Amino acid sequence: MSLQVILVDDDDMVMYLHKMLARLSGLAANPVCFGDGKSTLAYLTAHHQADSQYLVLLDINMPEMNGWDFLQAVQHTRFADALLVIMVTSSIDEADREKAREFRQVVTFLEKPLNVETCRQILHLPELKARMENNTNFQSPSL
Amino acid sequence: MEKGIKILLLEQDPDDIELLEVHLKQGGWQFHTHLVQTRGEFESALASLRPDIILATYSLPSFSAPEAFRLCQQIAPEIPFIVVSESIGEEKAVELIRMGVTDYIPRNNIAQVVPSIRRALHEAVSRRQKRITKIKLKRSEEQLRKIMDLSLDVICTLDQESRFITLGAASKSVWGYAPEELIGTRSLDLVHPEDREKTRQAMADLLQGTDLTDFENRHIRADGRAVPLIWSAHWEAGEGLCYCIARDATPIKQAAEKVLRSEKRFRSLLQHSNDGLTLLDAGGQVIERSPTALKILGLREEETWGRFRTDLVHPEDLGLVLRTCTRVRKKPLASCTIEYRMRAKDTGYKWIETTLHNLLEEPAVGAIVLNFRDITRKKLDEIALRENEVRLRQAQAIGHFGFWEMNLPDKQQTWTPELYQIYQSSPEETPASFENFKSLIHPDDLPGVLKRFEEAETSLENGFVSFRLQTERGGLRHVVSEWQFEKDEQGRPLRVIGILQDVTARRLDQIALLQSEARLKEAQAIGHIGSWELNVTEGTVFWSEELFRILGANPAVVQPSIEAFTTYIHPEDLAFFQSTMQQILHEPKNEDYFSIRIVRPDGETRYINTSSQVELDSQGRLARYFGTLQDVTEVKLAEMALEQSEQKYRNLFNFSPTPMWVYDAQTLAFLDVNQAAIRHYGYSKEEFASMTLRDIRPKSEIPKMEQVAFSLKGATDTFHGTFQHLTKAGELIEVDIQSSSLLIEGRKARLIIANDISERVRYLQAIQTQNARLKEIAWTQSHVVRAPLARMMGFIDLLRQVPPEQSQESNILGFIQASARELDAIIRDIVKKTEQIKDHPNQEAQSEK
Repeated sequence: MSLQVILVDDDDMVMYLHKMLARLSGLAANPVCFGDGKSTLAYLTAHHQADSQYLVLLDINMPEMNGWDFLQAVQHTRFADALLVIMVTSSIDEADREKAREFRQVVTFLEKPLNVETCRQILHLPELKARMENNTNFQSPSL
Repeated sequence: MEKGIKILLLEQDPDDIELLEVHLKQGGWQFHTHLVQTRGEFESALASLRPDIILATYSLPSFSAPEAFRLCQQIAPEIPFIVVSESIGEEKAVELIRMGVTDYIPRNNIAQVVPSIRRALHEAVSRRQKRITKIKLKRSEEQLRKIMDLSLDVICTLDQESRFITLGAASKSVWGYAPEELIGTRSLDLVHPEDREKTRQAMADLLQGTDLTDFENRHIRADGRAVPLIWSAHWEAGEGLCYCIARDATPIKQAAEKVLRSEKRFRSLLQHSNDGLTLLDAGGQVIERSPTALKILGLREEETWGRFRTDLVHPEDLGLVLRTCTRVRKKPLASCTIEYRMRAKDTGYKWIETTLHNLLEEPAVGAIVLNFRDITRKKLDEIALRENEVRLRQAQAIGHFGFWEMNLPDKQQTWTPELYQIYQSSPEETPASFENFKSLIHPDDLPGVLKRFEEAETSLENGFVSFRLQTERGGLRHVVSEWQFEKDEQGRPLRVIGILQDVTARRLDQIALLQSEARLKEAQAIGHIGSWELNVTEGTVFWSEELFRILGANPAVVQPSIEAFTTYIHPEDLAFFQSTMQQILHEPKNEDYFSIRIVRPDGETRYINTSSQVELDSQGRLARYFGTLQDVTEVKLAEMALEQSEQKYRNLFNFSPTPMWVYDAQTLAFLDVNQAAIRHYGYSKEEFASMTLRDIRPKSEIPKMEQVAFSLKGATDTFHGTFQHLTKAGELIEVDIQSSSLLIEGRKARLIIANDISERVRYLQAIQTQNARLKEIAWTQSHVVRAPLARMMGFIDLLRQVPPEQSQESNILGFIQASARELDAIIRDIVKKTEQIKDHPNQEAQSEK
């Protein structure tokens, strides 16, 4: 079993920034990155293993398949329970929070910009910790 | 037990006695024992001691327990009797018990004596109580029996089958059967065959638990007569008994019939009498009115208004009628007969003679009784008779004039026979002389007459004087005397020739005329009615006093004439008046009515109604034109005010810019619509007239409208709400409806004020759309704006985290610059877009439409 970090954002600069932050904070040395929901979904469908776990940092506004559509599509897949999702948005709307409650995978909301500190805090989220305790193969990130 | 128990002991053996007493003491109660050994002692002790209990040994030398018990049974059977004895053998013991002794206790079982006594005493007490109860019961039964037998009503109990169980003695007098003859027989069999079914039904109801009260039926007596009965009954289900009381209703029935008969008689009197009869209560309300009364009064039942129609009484007689009514009402048994006139339907007035009789305190009547009789015929005859008399007197008077002559120097007089006739005298009795003439003049008139004569003597002018004669036989006579002087060439008077005429009859007529004129005047003044007459033949015009008053004309100055009248006509009505006059004078016609305005000298305008009639001569030309003229200014002004106010409301309705209509609350049909409604909905007034409220609504709104329209029942119900209406052009409009109720010609209708709020609604919608759009822009922009900003912040933060060489290598600064440019472009774009949304929201809504 392994917890794989996936970054989803259509903005290349943001993607670059987040990748750097993931590395710097120790969240993930090599996160998988996608520019929209559709390719993320395709990736998961193709690569999901029975014991895989994923942490997805999901942007909302994206072309092709936005964050909400992605969450909707994920619900009835075999990897639905393998996902933990953190919504990353440039401006947090109360309506978005409301909407997010419909999806059990969503752990929290983070407002852009992320920084090293917020990324470190992700590692301490209780939901994530629970998964990590069950996950013997999870490699503790090294700083 | 306080006093202790009195024990009568029939015993001989001292050991036994002692033994017994020991046991009794152990029983724990106080007691006295009285020891006897012989029959005599026992007997007297029973009588004098009245023991509570007897204890006896079986056998004594001269006496035995069975004997003692028998004796006890005769004298005091209620005392418990216990045999305490040596063994007596089973046979004897059984015998004792069979005889009825309270108990038998063998001596070897002596310990039993205490409980036995206790039991026996207890039983004795309850026996005594039972006896007392029984006696009481017996006594009350006896009382009941007495009541049953002494009652004049039949008191009985019946079982479920209506069989007599008990029966009071009254059955003998009421039905002719003694109680013992009836007990066990069915009561129903006595019932009159015609009443049997209803009695059976009543019995069935009774068994269901409905108490019977005042149930009436008839029973057949022993002698075959039917006797009416009034029953009260109660079914006691627990006892299976029906308690009944039957009263002989014969006397009640007879009394009721008597009342009915007398009332019938009275009613038939009322119905068939030639006199009309009305009964009034103390308040003047009609209690009863006979058909004849209605016939005499010429009224239909519904026109009587349930009271004495004093409003129909001739105004002159009203005082008399009211006074009499009041007087009679105040005084019990007073009676008074009056004659008065009452307005009849179309025959003018009827003369009615009414006798009022106050029988308010007469219990059988309790009313003021009015007897009516139509005496019009009699009255007309009387009047005709009186007129004839007057005419006769006039005819006589016509011939009644005489001549007199007087030589002036010597005042010698000559009287003609006709003059003597007027004087009711003869030349022998009253020689012709001035002195005798004077003596005939009424003393009141004498000074006046003498004065006239003296004046005439001085002035020597012809003249006349009227005065009264006081004749011995003819009584008071009104006379007129006219004289002429005969003069010589020098103008000196020679003699006076006179004529004297009896004008008594004429005078009386004149007085009557004056009186009637006065009355007419009064009537005219009251009704503001003036009268006028144009006598074409004689060329005279007459105006009544009231006419002058109406015109504001001074009778002393204004000479009545058509021309004079014309000067009073309101300038606007003048042309009309003149053409009307022309028409009447050339083509006379009857009953012409018209209304004109006049202007009084003081400038006040009055409204006048005239009605006129014409009288033609033998050639068919106008001879007389006469009529009345009524000042109706007050009425007219009131009418005009009403009209104006109506017009005002009509204008408010018609010219209101808001659509308004009135519809029939039942049929929902349009009754009236205003101009605004016609404009707004596109239907013409005629089209509206054949439409209902449903026709200006889309189908989907009809149920809602009907629900509202039909739920508004009360006159005070108002309604305010919003509906969708459909115009003729098919445009759906939002309408704010206010409705209130009104009555139009007795029909319930509702007034609707319909405010088209479509525009307002559209306006609101446009604003809402605009707001939504603005919100959306704000949201999007904030996201779009924030995206590059967030990026910049993220990179700047990253710069601090990574070593400088790495930042150079990774082009972080380049990213920051790119983000800053992006942000700049976005802000410019926002400014441009906001400038575009300066349009008026309504314009936007319009353009969207």
